[in-house]
Amino acid sequence: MTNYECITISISIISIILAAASAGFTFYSSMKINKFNMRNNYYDLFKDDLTLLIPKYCTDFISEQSQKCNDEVSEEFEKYINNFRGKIKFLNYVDKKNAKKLDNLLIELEEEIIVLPTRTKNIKSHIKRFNYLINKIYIKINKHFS
Amino acid sequence: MKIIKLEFEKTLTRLAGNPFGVKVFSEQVESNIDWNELNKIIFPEQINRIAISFIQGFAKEILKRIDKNDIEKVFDFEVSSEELKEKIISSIKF
Repeated sequence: MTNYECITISISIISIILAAASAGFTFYSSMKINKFNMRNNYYDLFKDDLTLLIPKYCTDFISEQSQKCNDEVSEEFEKYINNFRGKIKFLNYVDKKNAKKLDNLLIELEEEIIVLPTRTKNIKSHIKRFNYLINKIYIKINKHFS
Repeated sequence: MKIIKLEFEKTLTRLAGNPFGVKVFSEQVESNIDWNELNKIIFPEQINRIAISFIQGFAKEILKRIDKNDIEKVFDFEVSSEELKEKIISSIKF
């Protein structure tokens, strides 16, 4: 085999490897983009809940200044959380374990929403617990879409 | 129809907490149930809010005996509002 033939064969092999790597990379990228788009679509379902409704209910429910709870908002917030549980039910089919944890957090939150306005003792620690649950719920939802 | 009337402290208007639900069921309901007929569970009028956590604890033993979709064949709930009754049933069926 001459030097010229050796170089030609080497170039051909390198070309085949590069072509295969390029095809693999394209496939991987498109899969990644599809996954990203799918998660964005899911996220869009909750966009209003996460950026508008939950923050609004939270600020209307507990006054940061006086640390008092609004019982009228409590009723609306309770109904909202019940509906939200139904809205996220499909996550059971995406990641059952994480969805169960999220559901348990919502149930705990709903309990605080109902009971907080009637509490007379340790209100600050219960408000702290309420804020902790809200924070955990955001973290769990974020986990589904990251 | 079997009628089971629940009793709570007069000042209590909201029910919450899974362990409390379990306790109320085992102390006031379990031994009075007739699984072959309709059981009407009556909550006092003063109870106007019930948390899902309580309902889950209350229904824990029930769901070991019957399918969640058969709940209305064996249990009827009399509560202060129709909305609250729907919440109890939908939370059990969830």
